[in-house]
Amino acid sequence: MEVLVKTTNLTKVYKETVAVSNLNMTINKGEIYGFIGENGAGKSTVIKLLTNIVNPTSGSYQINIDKRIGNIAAIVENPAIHNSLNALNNMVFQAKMLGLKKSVEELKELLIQVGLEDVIHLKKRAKDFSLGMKQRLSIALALIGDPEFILLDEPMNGLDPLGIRKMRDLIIFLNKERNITFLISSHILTELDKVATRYGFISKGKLIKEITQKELHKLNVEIEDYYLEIVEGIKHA
Amino acid sequence: MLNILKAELNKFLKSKIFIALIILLFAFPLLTASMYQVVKNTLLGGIIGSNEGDLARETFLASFSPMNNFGLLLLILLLIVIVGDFTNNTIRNKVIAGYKRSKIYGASALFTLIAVVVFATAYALLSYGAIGLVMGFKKIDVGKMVLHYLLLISSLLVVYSFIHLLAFLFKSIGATIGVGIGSFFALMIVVSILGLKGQGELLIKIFPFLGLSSTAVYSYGETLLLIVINLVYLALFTGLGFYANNKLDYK
Repeated sequence: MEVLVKTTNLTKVYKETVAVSNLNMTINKGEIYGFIGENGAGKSTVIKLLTNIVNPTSGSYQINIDKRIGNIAAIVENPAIHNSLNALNNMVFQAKMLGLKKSVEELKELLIQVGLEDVIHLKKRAKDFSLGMKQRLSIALALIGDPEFILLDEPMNGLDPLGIRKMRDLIIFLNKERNITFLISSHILTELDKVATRYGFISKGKLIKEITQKELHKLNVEIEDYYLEIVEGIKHA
Repeated sequence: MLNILKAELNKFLKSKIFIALIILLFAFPLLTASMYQVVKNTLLGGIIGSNEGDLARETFLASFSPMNNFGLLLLILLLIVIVGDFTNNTIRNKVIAGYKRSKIYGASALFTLIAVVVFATAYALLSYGAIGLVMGFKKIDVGKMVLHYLLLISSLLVVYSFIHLLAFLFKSIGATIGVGIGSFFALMIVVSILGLKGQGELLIKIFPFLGLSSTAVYSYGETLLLIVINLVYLALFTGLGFYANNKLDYK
């Protein structure tokens, strides 16, 4: 398999807190990599490091991808949208910012794809959207640049059951149809289990275990049980 | 960088902040002119009207201060735009998309400086026109005025390059205004104290941007020198901004 992301001893220290410590991980092209760990384990920091939102304290990473603008997209923690603009104007701004000449119809199509068809013609500003709508708008914004790699930090957070299903279907569709590689961190392990092709378990900033979906199924254990087993293992180590 | 700048300008031109600034741009000169119209035929009007230095010209020169009514509102409204990129987390979209941090900072700084030049110049010209129409125009040395305009606008750019740097460091409107205006006032106080001892002129030459609240006019040579000193400060603060932004975490 072709390696898309490779980190080498990647470390991030915030003042006196070690958020990520000597992380060595790889993500292959076409994978949906599920990133699992307790609160404060370092999942979000890894995503922030890979997207250049924060600078590494030491170590490095490599993303083997065309360096064109918009080829990497991410949703990190809170949806990053312009609250004063409506959904369509957010899309127009993002397209302009990326230097892409997208027609309004193309942008509307993306909004429909993420299930925001109801707000296309509304003047309702993004600040008045529900969290689920904001999440979906963020996904639409991420898709404008036709990215090959998308990083999602807790994408199911704040979504209702229907929203979760739509998000899951969208991720699977984009992975299968457009061969987009995903790195997804989530606390909802049962949901992650429905989309991920490989898992990475992180604890206290360190990658402690990686396993593919197939290997996990061979073991005939649920992802939740497997995760708890690992956590217990660390405690007793 | 140009794509970010174009997108930001486009968004700004459609925003309520832009509309508010346009209203203020016309409202303040009109209000001031109306006030002069009211007092024109009174004893106070006689005193103001006898001003040897030409009221319209002096109003023009004083218009560039970030401490006057329009100057302060321009500062606050532009900070809402700059800091809004951090509070909405939208600055992350730019870095995630693959733009270098230097381009992100450069586009933001350029946007700020363009907005400042356009609004400050428009406000000064409108003030000059409105006051002149009420109180009358006097002959001016256009060459000298243009040079002095360049000195004032370069001073304002220095102040805003510093404010922009602070905005990226603090990511907060309150802290940026507090530290920015606080520093400006502190230096002004030092200049005033030293001015009493006859050394104020020297400090104005070291920090020409402090002359923003003054209507003093210098010789051609002096003005050119002060503009060059301002450009050095502008380069220094912008350079510091690029450096700090590269080290910064967009948490």
